[in-house]
Amino acid sequence: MPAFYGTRPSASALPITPPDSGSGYSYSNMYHNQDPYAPHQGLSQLRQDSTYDYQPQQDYMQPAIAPGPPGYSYSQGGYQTANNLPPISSYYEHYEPIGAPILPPLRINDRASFADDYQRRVQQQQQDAVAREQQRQAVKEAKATGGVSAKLDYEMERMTDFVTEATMTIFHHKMTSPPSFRKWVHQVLSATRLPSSTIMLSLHYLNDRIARFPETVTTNENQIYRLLAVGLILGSKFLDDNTFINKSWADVTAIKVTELNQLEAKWLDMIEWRLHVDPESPHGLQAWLRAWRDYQIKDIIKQPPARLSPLDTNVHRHSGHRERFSPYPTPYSGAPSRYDSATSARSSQYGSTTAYGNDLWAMSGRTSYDDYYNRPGRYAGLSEMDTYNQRAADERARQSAYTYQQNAHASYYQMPTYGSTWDQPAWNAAHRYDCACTACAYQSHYRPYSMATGYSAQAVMG
Amino acid sequence: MDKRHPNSFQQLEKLGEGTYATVFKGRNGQTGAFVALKEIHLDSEEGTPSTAIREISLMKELKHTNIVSLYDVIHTENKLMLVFEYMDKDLKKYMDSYQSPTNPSAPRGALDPDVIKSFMYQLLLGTAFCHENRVLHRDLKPQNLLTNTSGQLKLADFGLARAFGIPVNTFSNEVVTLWYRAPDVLLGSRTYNTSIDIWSAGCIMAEMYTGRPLFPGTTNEDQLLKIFRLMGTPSERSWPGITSFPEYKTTWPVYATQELRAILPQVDALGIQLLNSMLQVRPEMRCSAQQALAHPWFADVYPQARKGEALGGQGGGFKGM
Repeated sequence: MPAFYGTRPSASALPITPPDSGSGYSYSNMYHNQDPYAPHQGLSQLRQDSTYDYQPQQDYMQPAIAPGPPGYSYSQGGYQTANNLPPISSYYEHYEPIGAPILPPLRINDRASFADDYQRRVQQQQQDAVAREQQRQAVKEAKATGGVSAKLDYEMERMTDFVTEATMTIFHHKMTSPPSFRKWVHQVLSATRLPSSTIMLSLHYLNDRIARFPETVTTNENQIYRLLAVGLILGSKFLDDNTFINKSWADVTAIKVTELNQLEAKWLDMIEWRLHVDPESPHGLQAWLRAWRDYQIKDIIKQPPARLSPLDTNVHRHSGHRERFSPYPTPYSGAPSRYDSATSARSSQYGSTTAYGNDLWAMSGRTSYDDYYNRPGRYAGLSEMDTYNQRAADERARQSAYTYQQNAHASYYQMPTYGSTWDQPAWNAAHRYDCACTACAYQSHYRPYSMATGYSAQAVMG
Repeated sequence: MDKRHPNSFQQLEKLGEGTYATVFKGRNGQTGAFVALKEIHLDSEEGTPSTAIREISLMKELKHTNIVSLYDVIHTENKLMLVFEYMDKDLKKYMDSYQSPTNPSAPRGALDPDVIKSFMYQLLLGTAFCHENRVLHRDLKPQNLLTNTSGQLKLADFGLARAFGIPVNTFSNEVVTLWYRAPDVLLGSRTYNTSIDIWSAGCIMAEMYTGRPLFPGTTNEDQLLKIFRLMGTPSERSWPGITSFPEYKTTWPVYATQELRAILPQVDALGIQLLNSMLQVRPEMRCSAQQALAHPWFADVYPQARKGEALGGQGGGFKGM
């Protein structure tokens, strides 16, 4: 729209008017006839080459079904038995025929030339054909200029892991089939190639929505897929200069466009359109950006976790500081990394112990006990922990009638870790925190570090 | 009547139309007050347009006298209706219809110096507020500045605006209407900042004096050359790093820097000084909105404009309206 009140004067009578290069609402209507996959051999423009994160088969051109990441190379048979719950079938059914159409990556003026490398060029040409075909089918009428960065500022696999884990953390929910969820996340991220800050903003929106409007959210798995998708849509539409239409999102997420539209509208009305968050707010977006940074660092270092990490008993961190855009759980108490999740899984486990212990050894007043247990650094080390475990197990034998009491506060704020939802006995009704079975004993002492171990451990727990 | 129902507003004449939205004058059925109704058609394939998402989410946070108020958003099945504060005219129309009563020899469209100073002050107040709230307007031009009979000026149309402060690697350089687009954006910069709005403000200031756009380019390249013809062709010496811009050309004619004073003889010395600091080709040399507001040229601005208030008591409304 040229102007708010831009009724155009007749051209001859008045001074010349500027060409509407990109005003108002014509802006997102820009078509890009330029084939984004055309090999740009403009070798004069080498500015991005050195860092161009082009991984022909993985990132840029995603096969219709994202291949399982290397991290998931556990034996197929073992996994099948482990997860006898079927994957969310509706998605699977959608995947096969539809596949994930690749959205054209956006390179409006960004003719990042590929290195003059024959192999790449051949690949590029092959991809061209595929891309053109898919484009015709899926995005032809979509006029999507794409939120795609030609050059990604992250590693796709790592980001997929992060988003997968963070989402399950946010929902406090362990997917019945984490690999298919991960596959879906990978597919969506690979096709859209959103910048990392957009993804973090989206996770912040998602977290914020769940914290502020918990009554509107269930942990129904179908809904988790949908809310993550719409979170990404909102992040991208707010932050990226080039965005997809919902039809394109529907194609990559296998969620109906009408549904996306409704969810989007509902979400916007619910938060009163307030997407402009303070990027400096320490418990908001900052926390996610930091969590992502730390996640990357930890993933790179890959050092074995300490045998027992210090407990987080810092109650202050979880109390009272709830800003509008800084809901619990923050990604910090959330699950930025497997390593961290082990830590907080523990704290939630022993948070429960606190309540339990109180009753068990209720010699004196509750308050003094609470104070004692809330003191940071209470659990000095593994041996002390073992002692408590042992004592607790003994007591349990005697007081079998005792009903398990959850410390609501601790469970709400400290439980939400990806690790805990995956492999933490306390949240599986089957095994109580003080269960003495071998699986739990294993769990409580050795936190699985790699994903693969995590799965197999889960298999034991069934 | 339900306040949030579209029918609670009586729709009057159409004020403008664009690709995505149509603006009507409206009347609030309850209070009788005028409003501007911006209707955005919702496409079933697009979902909520990103322009609408930005305009609404940003304007909700930008409550300021010199930014047009967004009163309400009515979201229905197939359209979005934004209810805005009503303003009489945009600055473009205001200038087009203005003939100075005090100086009949002035060209049509040229405004009086006092009014220019007041408008500039209000424009900069609104812009500074946007920048303080981490918003780039990215489309400042006379058509997007609204005025009323009280002499107030307000920023409107945030469809191109965006938040900054969140680290991002992609900024579109398809922003700002060509004539008001900063040279760094024309050169292909994607890392521009608040200084692009200052460039636009400078262009608008000059236009208010002459009634004609300062750099009416026809293409990206032509736009750059029109700027260079006045400001001088930049070189690696005058602008270190210019050769690494995507649109840098070695074939540009080399123009010498002109004196702004020679092109705009009607502007007083202090005004030229301010204009000079806003129209710096190098973005890092441009003044900020706050600095511009502190410029001595504004020492004698209307006190009402200083507070962003309506100019009252000037013989029944704002002169010229």
